Formats: sequence, C-alpha cells, structure tokens
Amino acid sequence: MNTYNKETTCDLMIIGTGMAGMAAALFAAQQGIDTVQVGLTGEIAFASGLMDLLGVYPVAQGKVLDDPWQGITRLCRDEPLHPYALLDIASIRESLDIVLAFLLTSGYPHFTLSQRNMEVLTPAGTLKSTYAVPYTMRHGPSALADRSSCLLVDFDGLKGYSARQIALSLADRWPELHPVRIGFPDAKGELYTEHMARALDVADIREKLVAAIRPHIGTAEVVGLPAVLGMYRTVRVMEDLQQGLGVPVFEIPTMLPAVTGLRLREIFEQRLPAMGIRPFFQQRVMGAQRLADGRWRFDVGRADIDFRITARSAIMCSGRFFGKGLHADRHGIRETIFDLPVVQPKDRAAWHHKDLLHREGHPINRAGVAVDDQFHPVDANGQMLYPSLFAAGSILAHQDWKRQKCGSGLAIATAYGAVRACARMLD
Amino acid sequence: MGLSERARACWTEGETNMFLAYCAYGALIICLVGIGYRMGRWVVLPLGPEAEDTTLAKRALGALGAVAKVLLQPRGLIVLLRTLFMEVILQIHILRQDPRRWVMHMALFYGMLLLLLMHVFDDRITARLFPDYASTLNPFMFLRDLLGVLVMAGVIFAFVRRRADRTLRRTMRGADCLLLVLLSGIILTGASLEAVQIISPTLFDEMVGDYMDSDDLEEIAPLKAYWAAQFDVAFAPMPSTDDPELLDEGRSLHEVSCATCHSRPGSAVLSYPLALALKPFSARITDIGLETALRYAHFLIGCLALALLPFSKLFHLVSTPFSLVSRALGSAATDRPVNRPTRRALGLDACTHCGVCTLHCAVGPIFQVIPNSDILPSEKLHSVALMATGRSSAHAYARLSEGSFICTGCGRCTTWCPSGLDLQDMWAASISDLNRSGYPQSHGWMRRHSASQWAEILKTCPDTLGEQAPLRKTPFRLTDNPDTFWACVQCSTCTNVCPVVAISEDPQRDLELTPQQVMNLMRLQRKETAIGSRMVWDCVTCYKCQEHCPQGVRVADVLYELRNEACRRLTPAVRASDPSSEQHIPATDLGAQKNGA
Amino acid sequence: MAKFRYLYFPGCKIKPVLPEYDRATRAVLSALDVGLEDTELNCCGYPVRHEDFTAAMLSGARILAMAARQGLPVLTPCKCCYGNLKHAHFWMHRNAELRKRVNGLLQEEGLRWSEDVVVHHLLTALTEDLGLAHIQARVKHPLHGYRVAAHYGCHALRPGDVTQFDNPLAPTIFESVIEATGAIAVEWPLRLDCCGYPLWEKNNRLSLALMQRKLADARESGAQALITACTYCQLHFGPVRSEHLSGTAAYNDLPAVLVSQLLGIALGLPDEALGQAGLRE
Repeated sequence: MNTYNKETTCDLMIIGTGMAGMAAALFAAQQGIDTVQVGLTGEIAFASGLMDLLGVYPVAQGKVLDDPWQGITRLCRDEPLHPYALLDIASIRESLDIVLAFLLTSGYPHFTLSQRNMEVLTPAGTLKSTYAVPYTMRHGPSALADRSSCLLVDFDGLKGYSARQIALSLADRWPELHPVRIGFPDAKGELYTEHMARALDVADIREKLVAAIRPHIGTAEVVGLPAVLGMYRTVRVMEDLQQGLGVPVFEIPTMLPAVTGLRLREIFEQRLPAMGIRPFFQQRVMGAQRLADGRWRFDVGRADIDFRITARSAIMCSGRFFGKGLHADRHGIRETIFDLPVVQPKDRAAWHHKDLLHREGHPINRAGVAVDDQFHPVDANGQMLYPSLFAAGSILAHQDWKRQKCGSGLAIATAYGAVRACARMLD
Repeated sequence: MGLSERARACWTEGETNMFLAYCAYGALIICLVGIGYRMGRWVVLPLGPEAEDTTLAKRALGALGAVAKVLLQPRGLIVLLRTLFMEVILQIHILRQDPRRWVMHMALFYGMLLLLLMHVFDDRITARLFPDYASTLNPFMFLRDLLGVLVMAGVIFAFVRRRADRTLRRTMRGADCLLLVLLSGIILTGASLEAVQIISPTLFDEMVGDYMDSDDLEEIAPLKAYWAAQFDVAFAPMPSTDDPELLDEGRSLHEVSCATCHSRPGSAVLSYPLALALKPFSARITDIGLETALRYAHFLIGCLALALLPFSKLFHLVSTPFSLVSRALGSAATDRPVNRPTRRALGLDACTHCGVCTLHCAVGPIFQVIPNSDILPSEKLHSVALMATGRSSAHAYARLSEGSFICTGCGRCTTWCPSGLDLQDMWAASISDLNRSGYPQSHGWMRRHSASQWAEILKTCPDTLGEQAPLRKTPFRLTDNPDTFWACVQCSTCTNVCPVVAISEDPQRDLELTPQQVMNLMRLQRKETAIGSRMVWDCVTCYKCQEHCPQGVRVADVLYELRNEACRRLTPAVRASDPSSEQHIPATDLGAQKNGA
Repeated sequence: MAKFRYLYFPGCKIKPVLPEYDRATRAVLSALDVGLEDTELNCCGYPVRHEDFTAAMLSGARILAMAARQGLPVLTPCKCCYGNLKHAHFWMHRNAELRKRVNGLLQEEGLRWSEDVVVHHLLTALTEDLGLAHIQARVKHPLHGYRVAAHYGCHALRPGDVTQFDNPLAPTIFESVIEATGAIAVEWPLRLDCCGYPLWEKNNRLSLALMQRKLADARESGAQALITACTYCQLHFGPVRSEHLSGTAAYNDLPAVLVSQLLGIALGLPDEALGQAGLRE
C-alpha cells in the first residue's frame, strides 16, 4: 500500500462495506473469485445486531409477522418488484445460512428459530420481531415468552438506555421486569458503549461487574443488560457473567454507536482479508469509467484519488444516503458513482407525506436503483445497462427495509444473488 | 632592546609612564579579581533540581573534592594531562570536526598566545631565550608581523563564518563583536604603530642620538640617505638617494651602529604595506603626534582586553579548558549530585557562542518558522544563563519555555560542542527549573484553567501573531471552514473509539469535553470554549477518531489545529502576564504536577 | 552493490536513549543486503506539530528534499517519524500555500521538496521492497513456539489515507514479518491502540495508564513478549516502564522486544550486534 502501487486489477470489485458488501465479499471469497473490496464505515457501526428477514408485512397495516417465510411469499406475490422477488426462497435461506455459519466459525454464533421470528426487547421498551440474534441475546426472547422474573440492569451515565423505561413500557406484557441502576466498574460520569465493551474483555472488570449485580438478583431467573458484553471476548464474558450470577444473561440493543454493529464489522474486517479479499477499507470509489473491453476502471481514495482499480465486474453495495450510495438534493436523487437511473417520485414534493409517521412510509424510502433478476441495474424500460455491473443491498428500489424490518435479509440475499449472477458472468 | 625598555626610554614623562604602568597593573588586578569572581560563581549559580537544597559551602567542598579526586588519582591525572594536551594544546577535537574551523581557531589562539609570550613579554622571555633579540630584527620582526597577520586572518575568518551562515548571522551578539573588535584593535593599532615608526623621521633622529654618538649632520647624512633608500623613512625634505657612494658610506655606518638591531622593514609583512601607504602623510602624522597616540592606543586596548577578560568571551581561555577536562573525566550523570550545578555553571561560562551546536541542531530549521531564538541551543544557553543569574524577566522565562520544549533531546549539540559542555544535561536541568518556576510546556500550561476560563482569557488574545511572524499564519484552516464539520452527525463514534476517553474514569470531569462535543462546538462556531478543554490537550494523537469517523470529519487534525491556535494566541508575552504564571511549585509537588494530577 | 539502498533516517531519540534499535536495525538490514546512506538530518517535525503546523511540515519536507537531492528513498525505523513524513508529503501535495512557503524556506539552502520521494518504514521496506520470501530464506533459527503480540501503535497506521502503511482497520503487515521469523503473532484486541508515549511528560498519569491497559491485554491474550517497531513505543514499554512501573503489577514481566532484535535473533546474528537482545525463553 505504501509504495504507491496505485494500479490494481481484479475480477470483481465490491463497492461497499456494509452488510450487503461484506456478505457479497464473503460469498465471493468462498467461491474463490479474485475480489477487491472498497468502502467507508457506514451504518454498520450503528447496527443493533438483530438480523431481520421480514418483520412487518403489510407495512400499511403494521402487521407483525410470526412466520417470515410465509411473509416473504406473500410479499413477493403482492410486490413483484420487491428485491426478494428476484430470488427463490431456497436461495434466501441458503444465503442466510452461509452468513450465520461464517459468524459461528468466527466465534460469534447467532441464534434463530429458523422457521419463525422472535420478539426482542429494544432500549425504548418496545418489542421488535426479528429472525436471528447474536447468541448473547439468545435468552431474551424466551424469557419474554415465559415472562420470567427478569432483572434489568442499566448503568449510571449510559445515555439512551433506561431499565426503568423498558420495565414501564412493557409493564402489561412483562410484569416481572425489575429495573436496577448500578455504576459501571471503574468508571464515572458519562459512559460510552465501546469503552464498556472493551473494558469487559478484561477479566478483572467482569469480576467487578458480577459483584455489583449479584446483590440485586434476588429471585430473578434471568438478567438483561445493555449490549456491551465484550467486544472480542463475548464468549468469555457471557460465561463469566452467567457462572458468576448463576442465571442466564442476555443483551439488549443500545443506542448508537452499537457494539453489536462494531463486532460484526470487526469480524468481517479481520476475516475477509484472510480469506483472500483485497480490502481498501476507509476508502471510497470516487469515480468509475467503463473501458472499451467492458471492464471498469475505478478511482479510489479518501479525499483524493490514491488508487486505480480495474475490474472485470463490479457489485454495487454502496448503501443509501448515509452510506453515500445515493445523494439527494433539491434537484433529485442520484446514484453517486455510475450515475445510474434512480427510481424515484417524479416530483420532489412527492418524496414525503405530510404526516411524518404515515403508516405506509414515504415514497422516498422506496426510491433506489432497480435491477433485473440477474441483479443488473436497469434503465426506465427495464433494460440491463451493463452486463458487468450488479447491485445489491439497501440501494435497491421498491423496498422499505426500515418499516418492513428486512434489512439484513435483503442485504444478504441480494448480495448472494448478485454474486451468483456475477460468478456466472465471469465464467 | 625590548618594547618595555623602549617605552621607558622614549616616554620621557614620568607621569605617562606611571599612568601606563597603573593601567597595566590595574587591568591585571581587575582581570585576576574578575577571574576569581567568575570561578567563584561556578559554585554559587543554581541550575537544576540539585541546586535547591544545597549551600555554598557544600558546593565549594564538593568542587574541591572533585578536583582533589582528579589530582590524587593516577587515572585522573593521566586524563587531565591527556585532555590538556589533545584538546587544549592541539585541539584535535576541533580538527576532527571541521579542519577549517581548527585553522581559524589555531590562528587566533596561537597567534595571540605567541604574541603575548614573544612580543608583550619580549624582554622577559624572548630576549632571554635569544640574547641577540631586537624587535626590529629578523626573524623576530617578521615573525611578529606574521603572527599579526595570522590573528587578523583568524579574525576575518571568524567574522566571515558568522556572517555567511544565515542562522549565525541572525544570532550574532555584541559579545561576538566585542571580541573581534578587541583583537583587531590590538593587532591593527600595533601594526599601525609599527608602520608609523618605520617611516618616522623623528624616531630616526632620536635613535641616531642614542646610538650614534654624533650630532654632526654631515656625518649622519649618508646614514640618512641609506635609511631613506632602504628603510623607507620619510624624511622631510627627502635626502637624495642617487649617489651610490653616499649610500655605500651610509651602509657602512649602518652596519656599525644599526644593523645589530635592524632588519629591513620589508619583512614586517603586516606593517610595511601600511607604512608605504602612510609615507606621503608623514609630516601630518608627525605634527599630530600619531605615533604617541597609537602607542597609547595599542597599550590601552591591550589593557582593556586584559581587564575585560573575565567579563567577555575571552574568559573562555580559563573556563573552556576546565570544561574540556571535566568532560573527559565524566559527565553530569556520573557527578555527585552536589557537583552537577557546578558543572552546569562552568558550562555556562565555557560557551564561546561559536554556534556549532546551533548549526547541527535537529530542530534548527524550526527557527525559520517560529522566530524564537531560544529554540537554538547557543541562544537558549544564553537565556538559561540569564535565568540562572537571576536576570530574567517573566517574558524571558516564557520565551525560554517555548524554545526549550521544542528541543527533542537528540544530543547532537552535546556531541558537537567544542567546549565540552554537557548540553543535554543543561537542557534537562533548565527544563526542570522552568517547570518548577511555573513555566511548563503548553500541555501543562493549559491545565491551569478550565475550558470556560480559557474561553474568557482567549477573548483578550486575538490571533494576530501572523502579522509579526507571517510564517506562523496557518496555510489553511479546518476549524473556521464549515465544510469541515457539516457532515458531522454527532454519532459519537469518535468519542467511542478514543482511548483517552476510555481510560478516563470520569470523562466529563477529567476531559471536560469529549471529541464529538468538541466537533459540535466547532459547528456552533464556539471554538474558544473548546480550545482550553482538557480533551484537546490530553489527546494522544492516535488518529482513531479521524480514521473511524463515518462522515470523513478530520477530527484529529482539528484537534491539532486547536492546539496550534492556542500556542499562537497565548504568546510568551501573554503567558508572562498571566497572574498564575509566577506560582512556584516546590520540588516535592513536582511529581504531582508532572503526572498531570 | 546492494539492490536496495535508502537514506537512513533514525530520528532524534534513537541515538541518545535507544541506540540498540539503531544497532539491531543496521545489523539486520546489512544481513539482508540492504544499503543505508547516512546524512545528518533534522527532526522529522512530529513533536512540534502541537505548536505550529508549518514548522512540522517544513521539518518533514526538508528530509524529503534531502532524499530527493540524493535520489534515494527514505527508510526510518520510527513510526512517528514515518507518520510525520507522510503527513508532510500529504499536505505539501495538496496545499499550494504550504508548498510555496516551505519551498521558499528550503530554497535558501538549495533544497526543494519533491513528491516523488518514497518513504518507507522498516516494516514496509521489508515487506514491499525486500519481500518476506527474501527474509524467510535467511532465517537460521526459526522462533517456533514463541508467542508474541505485535504492537502496531498508531502513527504509521493512521490516518490511513495519509500514511498508506497498511489497511488501517485490519492491518497484517506486522504479523507477516513476525511470522516470517517462525514466531506466532497472537490475536489481541488492543493491538491497534496507542502505547501512550505521546502524552509522556505532558500527562504522565494518562500515559502510563494507556500503557498498562495494553500490557494487560497482551498478557491476557497469551503473549510472551510485546514486539514493537517504533522508537517511541519501545521507549515507553522499555525504559519508561521499568523506571516508573517497576514492581507494580503482574504483567510487568512481559518484555518489549524490538522487531529488529526479533529478526536478528531469527537471522542468527550475534547478540552484541543487536544491542540488548530481548528476553527470549
């Protein structure tokens, strides 16, 4: 990197290091495709750790789903343009299984009921329906279902997380929630989630935490804590806490920055290069040029162009507005790298409903890049634009991942589809 | 006939004689007393922490003990003698560093030394060694002038050297000029005197009166013609020098009465050209009594130099050999603590302001940007001396502090110092004194007040340093540019990755602001509130914040810029006027202060 | 004639307080057929950046200009020096006003900054120029079973767009060099954190606390030694630690070894050539 080796070539360029980009890189690595991955830190640092497949359908009715697979089937029938409709159920399932297996071998197993969603606590005291959770959160859903006596711990100085609020909000649904506030070991004043998580990676701090919680357990059968139970050593942290307290422990997502998202990011960042991916992390694609032979030439850098990467194919997982895959201003929404056509309301005035909390969500949320069944971005007539360009993840049009609660599933499944199509193209 | 003899013979007035003798002895007494005073100061001046709890008696005894140790141990004596031979007499260490500088110094040193021994004390030394010595006789006359040329060459070399280098030129001091003026003065008055004497007809007459035993003008005429022709005396009127017979006769007279003491003046390589130039003005010269004036001048400048020896750069003749020997025998690290301040005080006196340390200083280039001469070791040493002798002001302390903490302790100055100073130790000691006197580096300084207090103080400290020191104006600004911050969404990732926040038990108490709060204040254009916060000064510059920011905000660069701005606005003058600046922190609390409690 | 030749830039601290780093590095590079050119150079400018940006950039740019004059790339064993040289390169390249100022000052000495000068840290020179195969071929005593923690520190690593040292979030360069010696580089969470030295003598309490945190983490990760590749880092984990933390905690016996010393041992160089050799076995 140092000797200004500015020129690189590869078979596949993955643009983006979010959930879709990382998943795509994983699939590509497993198939031995010569891959370069470029991306900035985007929202994955804020990810709650909950892997949504499909949580709410239909959105307008706010119907929470118990069986996500059934939900997907209905969704694809009702909304044939939804990205899920581009794939068969078996592929979606396979893509998720691969990612979960990867996380398992990375020392961060996930828990899923496989056929059904689970209900999980949020820091606001609401419930969310999700498909897979890190094993650190495993005991939450079952404790909720059983309405076990649960000690909810929060920490003095941790903003955006109140055990009392959770208990009050869920009073009807889960009366045996007992909130308690304690101090975090060796810390005073304002607390930060990442520091707490790293602190708990140290045995000494874990002991102190156990000692601080134990007096409050009483008859509680389970303990709920904010999701700060270790950054790298979650296994040890869980073991020590559960052993020390004598009851199961589970994590509850926190406000951002979320340790859960950081864990995922770290795992992907450490393992993907080891699997053969050539990473250009903390860089972004600043420009793209199509060469005469159909390959792509990318300008990559942080503030200025530092590298030029020539790729036979590219998968765009560049995200939406925060990820900088899309850009919105008074003139419209545009795709920032290739300037692909973006499906969007004709008029800027039509982007939003006047009611912020409109049940259907806002039309702008469904804007994005439209793709065909091979995940090639298409023009207004549905025609493929470039045979060597693919797109996946939240940049895709015709989906509202936030309200449909399908973010991770969408990212992973479409990445799977895109890589599969791309691999075929490369051969 | 020796110079002093001649002086006594020619100066007929007893009072003049007495006057000059008084001058000489007076100068000598001043010199000796001065040397004693300066050497005494070596055991008095405080420099470094070891000087805090000691007394004059302890230091004096310590010094004597160290000297005794040297003299009473064979190893010590050997090192002493070897150092004196190699570094004082041969000055091999200078030769190794820079042959040209060695030549210059040798010319000056040996030129003056030999002139002192062979010319000033010619009646006591030269005449005794060489019974047929006469000051106007070769090779003595030639050698004396040659030594004069050597010294002048050295002076010119030294001057050119100092003027040719940009940094040395900027840091030239009065003391440097004084030395060169004194030396030049001595040589040039001497050469002028000799030149005037060469052409002086009055002197000819006097000498004839003394050594020829004749008043007969007829008898003298051939000699006069000979001397007019061969010895460039400017008679008025000029005798005819055409007649070879007359000249021949003159030559015989010369060989009888003059030749034992006189060689032809052409060998006076320094004075002779001057004599020729002055010949046309000989009458005028005689009228105004220039010879006497020059005689006084030459003598008195010499006395002046002698009297000023302990108070000018000439003192290095005494102090530098001591310093070189003490370096050969050890360093501050191996000294007993009581002797360390003594070694340092000696070092202060041994410095010749040669500037070699500055020429090799690793942070020398910074002086081009930050025009504080205390960055440069040769100038910093001078300021340290002022601090040690209690002649420093608050402003000077603050400037010295700014310069001292830029030093990286690389030790090159110490390696190069030709006078044997342990500069590395000197800096450590002066920094310790600065800390204890309440002039720590900026990071410590900023701990005096809270962020909001600093915000108030900064209101009265505009960022105008760029007007006096244009290179200190920032080439670009991140902090005043809204583009830097518009992307900040206050996600607090920077705060979460910051190891300083992580290690703080109570970030609010210990740091006052967290990184994302600092960024927020920038967005709100409330920079002053952030500049003085502990976070800015406890930042470890690891760049994690900037690396992890999802929005590309250059967090760490901004923190650097805030520190730069504080250093620009809180100039030494401002720091000197801060009422809290004079708090003297006793040594026992030094640990607490150093550890940032 | 050595295939690779560099202008050697040790920085200010090595000679007075860490001469073993110089000795070991020279010995190792010599054994690997690398040529070093020595010239008197100024301070890289890292320490003065707190006071004044232009002063720091001038300092760095001057070294690059000296290298340009000799037509050589720069090699430094200190990561802080490396970092500041890269900052100088970065900002000189991008800011016309700075460039004008600095070149104006350099011109007085007949120097000129050139953006073509390549700056190497010891680790990048070993991996990018020499290649690990070249090193591995010369290893005589592979350090099998020796578990060490690669201490990356920060100034060479971040900010990645400026320093271009390696992947700033998931670097592997240091481990690859360690593994070339046969030793095992353990995974440890705090490997990319700062050692704390930049705060030394500015806030000693914090500085030591940061160091202790790293040591605790390295120990808990099963390392037998900490490997450093920077003057500052080694100073902190070495002399500063033994002077200020001796006898305070259990992990104080985790030695800090310079990467050159590690390499030197693996290459079979004699102990005297490496300065004070690390506490191995």
